[in-house]
Amino acid sequence: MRNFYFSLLIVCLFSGLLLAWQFQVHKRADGAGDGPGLVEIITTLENDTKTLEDKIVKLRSDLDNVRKDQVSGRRQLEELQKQIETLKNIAGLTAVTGPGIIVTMDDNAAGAQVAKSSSPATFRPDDYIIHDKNVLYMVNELKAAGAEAISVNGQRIVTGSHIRCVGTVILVNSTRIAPPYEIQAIGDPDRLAAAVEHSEEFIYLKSRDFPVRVTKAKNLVLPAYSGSIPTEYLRPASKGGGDNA
Amino acid sequence: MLKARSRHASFAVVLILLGLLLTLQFRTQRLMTSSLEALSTEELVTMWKKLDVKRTQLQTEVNSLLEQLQALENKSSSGLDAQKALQKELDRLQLAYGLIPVKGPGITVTITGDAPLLYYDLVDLVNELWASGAEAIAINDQRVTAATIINDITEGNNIYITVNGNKLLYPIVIKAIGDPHTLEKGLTFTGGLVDNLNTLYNIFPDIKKAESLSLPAAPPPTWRYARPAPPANKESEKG
Repeated sequence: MRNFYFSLLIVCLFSGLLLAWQFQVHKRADGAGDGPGLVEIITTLENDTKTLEDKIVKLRSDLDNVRKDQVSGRRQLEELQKQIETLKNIAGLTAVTGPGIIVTMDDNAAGAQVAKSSSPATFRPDDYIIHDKNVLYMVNELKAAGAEAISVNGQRIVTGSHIRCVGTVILVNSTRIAPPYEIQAIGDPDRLAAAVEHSEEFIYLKSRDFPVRVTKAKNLVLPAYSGSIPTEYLRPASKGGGDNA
Repeated sequence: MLKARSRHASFAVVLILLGLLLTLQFRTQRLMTSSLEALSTEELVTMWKKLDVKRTQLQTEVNSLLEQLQALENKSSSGLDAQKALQKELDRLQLAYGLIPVKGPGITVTITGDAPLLYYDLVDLVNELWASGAEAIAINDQRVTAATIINDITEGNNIYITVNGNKLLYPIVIKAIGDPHTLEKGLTFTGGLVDNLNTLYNIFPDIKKAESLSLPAAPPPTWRYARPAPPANKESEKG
């Protein structure tokens, strides 16, 4: 009987601790947000940009269809349209398919739990999460290994793409993404996989017990880039430049 | 007997509660890192500003695409107008993708040979410039596109940073076209990239605004594995 009370006591104590911890987490989250205002504004903006991006992808494909209709039978125009389509492909404005690999990187949640309970004083949460630089450098490794097309959590990497963070949140093309981070790359699967496994980034993350892994894939489909292509300040060098032969 | 049973029941209830709490806790912890609630007010404001800029850019893109669509649909009879519209779109894509030489205002970032620069720093700088609104970038007169490879090679005791396999000679000059003021601010704000390079790595890039920069073209990439995906939702979209 005594044994029973003892274990009940332990369980109660433990739940009490958990409850307190839970409340603390909630309090921290609420306090940091400075009321619901900013979070709501951001969520609305995110919905707006998503709608606009969907519209852009649809408009780009509509435009292609209209152009195709118009140029049919006119040889010179057909040639132009072909060039546009090729350019759109290499610029990442269309979905692509092909063999390649998937690199999955996740926060080291298990390691964080252990470290937190064993030595709470020296526990640094930053040591257990994937940062923007981990993703950025991995994408660079893939490019160096000959990846022809890359996407990160559904965001296509194009010429003007950027991978950054605000606090602990990673943004790709200014869109918020959440762990696990999944990088898809089209190219020679063997070469890509070998390059990733020998990369500093991968070895480092593995050595720190982060759940990272590489999977080869026969047929990946990467989405089109859905963002804008700003050309406000860009001018062709040949027009009005004078000295461009 | 009855007492024992009720005891067991209460014990079970406590255990269930414990289980619930544990899962809730883990879910909360999991959400913490990527949710907006985990951010400070200052970070939320930064995010708000970024999204606001993004929305404006997307709206501009939508408007320009709609304009193109209308132009094509209204003037379907005239071959000349159709050709003009096609040429315009082709020009814009060539401009943005780096297939023709371009010019425009922007900034130059110069790094001299005494800086302990790694290729990662160059990857960071290019990434930061795109994030700050750069429309075209070149490193030592090599145009940067999605296919550009920034890496390094070791020869003897020397490590050379390479762009597309070509060794970079110092001084390394990065040219970026865009709004000069925004680009400069994007690099030099307190706690920003240049601040970090200064204090952490003893690298002091020299940043200058420029009224007119000229950037060369990049060669088009060749694809051996990737091919356009067949339009999956075309039928449903059309119908």
